[in-house]
Amino acid sequence: MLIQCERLVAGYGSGGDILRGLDLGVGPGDFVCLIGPNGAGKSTLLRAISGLLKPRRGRILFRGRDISGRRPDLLFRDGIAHVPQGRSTFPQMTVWENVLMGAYGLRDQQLVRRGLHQAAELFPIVVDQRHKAAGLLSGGEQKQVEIARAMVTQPTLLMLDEPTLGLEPRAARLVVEKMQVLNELGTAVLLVEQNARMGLSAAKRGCILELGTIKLEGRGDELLNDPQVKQLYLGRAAGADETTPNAAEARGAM
Amino acid sequence: MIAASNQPGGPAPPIAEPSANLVIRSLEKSFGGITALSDCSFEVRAGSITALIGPNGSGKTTLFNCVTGFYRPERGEVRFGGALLARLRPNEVVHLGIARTFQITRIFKNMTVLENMIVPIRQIGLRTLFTAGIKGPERERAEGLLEFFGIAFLRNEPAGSLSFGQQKLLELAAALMAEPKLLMLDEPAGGLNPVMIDRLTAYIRELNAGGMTFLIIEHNMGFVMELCEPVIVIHRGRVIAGGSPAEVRANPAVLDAYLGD
Repeated sequence: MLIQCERLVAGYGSGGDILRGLDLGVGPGDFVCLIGPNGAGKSTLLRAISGLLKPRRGRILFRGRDISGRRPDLLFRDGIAHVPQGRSTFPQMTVWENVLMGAYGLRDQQLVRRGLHQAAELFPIVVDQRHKAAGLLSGGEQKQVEIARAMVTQPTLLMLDEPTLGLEPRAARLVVEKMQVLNELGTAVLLVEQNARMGLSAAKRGCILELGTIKLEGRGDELLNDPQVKQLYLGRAAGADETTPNAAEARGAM
Repeated sequence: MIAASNQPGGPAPPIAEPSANLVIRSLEKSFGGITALSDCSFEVRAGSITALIGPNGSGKTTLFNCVTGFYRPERGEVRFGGALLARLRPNEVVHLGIARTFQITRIFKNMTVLENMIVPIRQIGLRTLFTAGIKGPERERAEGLLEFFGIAFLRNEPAGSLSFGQQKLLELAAALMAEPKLLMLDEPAGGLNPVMIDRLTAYIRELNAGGMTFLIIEHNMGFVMELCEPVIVIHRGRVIAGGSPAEVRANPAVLDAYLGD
């Protein structure tokens, strides 16, 4: 296992536990989509793994080593990248400066060069628009800059928290395609996605998180077709308008 | 019943019930030379669930901000019933019966969930806001809404401790406390889990049957096509199409600018 969470318990400040004894494994090259109700603990889990939140109990193993409570900058260097929810570009800096920030604190110049090269190759926009202030890009373009920045360390695990939130349908599809490409190139992906149909279609595996524990896991397509999962987590869904010729796409990406 | 004109001096939208329609006429707004809205005109008919769709950066949120007093448009006018909105402050717009939510939620993070529910309906200074306590029908209504959106158990938590999705639900619930005539929602489905989207869809229908008018910005096309009519499409700050979901979906200009293939 690349990441192994064992009986993980985490929460904020003096508040109650959000994660309540969660067990989850992500293998090398895996693509796992986390779905579940609002407030189930999905973002909290990503924060615990990337070191932004120190677990209260339990452990997180990364390649067999206990990393619980390790500093986020060290974990980033270790190869765990986290693209948080919402916008996290530096709006006044240029697109290329934003990508360079992904190399902040890295000492291995050769690694940095390789990482930047790869980021530029995967996300041509960071080269095409390199002199533009990142804040002037559209939401979908900014999300690509954020992912490119996260890829500079050539992480083995890329975690994305609702990357398609607020994106127009086409931009959302593009971002999902990019995740699939990165995964095919060998990066393990842990994706939190409220657009559950789209997320589960793109991922290899799905996990349903509820009340701070994993309720159910399975292949993406298994979960998509499970009647109980449909009823409890996918809904009739607002994406399922059968009248659209390419209903599958409408269901997912829009 | 929408009339979209994308040419200067185009036909004015017909007004069916002037007392409660939201009429947006030739609106223009730019930011440092970048045009966000340019001769944008359309109408939200009283009693409709109107959708506003379009690419990122097409001017949808700017339009919301112009209607609700957060921005001053450079040209054009916004009428709600008999009132001219374009020069009003946000709080004055609220008193006319227009409430809204934001794409990025704006709640009071250090106040409790329940306190956030009361803010929209008390028209007094913040210092005296809670001296009267939260009780009676007000409390019942707040509890009912929180219950419906599944966040009642968080009533005494600081709102800032809620997850992103829960904060959105809180903002929506708080906007409903004021029982507005027109509720403007900026990406209500974004970040909500699909089951909650279904509940929200049903609830909007119910409120609409009771007379509430909706103007909804949303990228979730399933949600839009199922719930809204008419659908208005804006691109580069002006209306490029409007009509029933089926008409809009079949419109080549919309496919080209937004939906793609």
